[in-house]
Amino acid sequence: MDHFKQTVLPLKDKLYRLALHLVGSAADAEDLVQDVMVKAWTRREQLPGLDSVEAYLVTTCQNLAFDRLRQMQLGSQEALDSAQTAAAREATPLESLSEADLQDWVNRLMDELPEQQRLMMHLRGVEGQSYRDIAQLLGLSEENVKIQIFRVRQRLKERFAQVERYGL
Amino acid sequence: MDYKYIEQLIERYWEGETTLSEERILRDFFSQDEVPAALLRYKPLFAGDARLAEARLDAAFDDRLMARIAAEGLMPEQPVVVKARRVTWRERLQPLFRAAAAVAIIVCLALAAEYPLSQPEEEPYSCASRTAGTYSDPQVAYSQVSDAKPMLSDTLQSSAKHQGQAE
Repeated sequence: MDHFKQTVLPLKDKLYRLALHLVGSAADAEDLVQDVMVKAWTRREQLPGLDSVEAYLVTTCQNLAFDRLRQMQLGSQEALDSAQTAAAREATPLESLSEADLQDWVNRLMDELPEQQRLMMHLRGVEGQSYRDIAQLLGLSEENVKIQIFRVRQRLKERFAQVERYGL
Repeated sequence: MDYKYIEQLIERYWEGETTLSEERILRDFFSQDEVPAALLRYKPLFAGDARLAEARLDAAFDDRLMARIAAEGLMPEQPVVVKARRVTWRERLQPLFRAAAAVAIIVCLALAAEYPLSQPEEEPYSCASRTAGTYSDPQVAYSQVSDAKPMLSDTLQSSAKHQGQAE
């Protein structure tokens, strides 16, 4: 129990921010962190033998979040209809967009990213982690992480340029 | 704040060339209320991250988590601590004493209940029964009777004398 309190519980805020980034709602994010912690609790005997408890928790959090999002998407025809309506509407010029519209748009851009790239962007942008730390956490090379983050940023740059030209 | 510097930082950001501290400058800049209109479109990208970086769980989260773990039956049971207690010989033998006392009480009660029933019926009064077994030695009995004879004779004579006077 001491090992759990010393190594797992201190990561709760980091997991909460990741969960919040992935699922959006504060209540869902807390539920998700609890799910991760309960799962870690049931495996607490094996945790000391892991290379990185943080990597295990982050991966578990991400997997559970995506499972939850998939269930929500499957169960919500309303969300699908809303997305189709949004796609069908006419483009709005950039200068007419509110800050909230822009925020929704950026969130959707992030949602479209592959899971690993989305996690890398979160760890870099929100947690302020170095490429090396992200690489260690995800079990990748530093170069690989740099390249993937560069690709995401290039994609974001293109999408911003498109919105400037054609509106949202 | 020099906006040109911010624009340069944004360009370097797209190219993946910014350091962590430069990315922090971008987050801080776009977290301000007043952002120049020309850069406003980038605000959600950086201010969103800055807002999220401040998110924390409340202090009662640990209690809620532990309560859930306990509610799901995942909390290991606390081992029972057995404390050694010194037992004296008297305490050890106490059950034996109690058993012996119980047996004694039962025996006494049984005897009390048995005694009136088993007592032989009282024989009718007779001289033989009164005197039988007084002396076990016949010689002693004979000498006693011999001693009593004169006394008996005297008693009978005085009795006869009194009777004669009365007549």
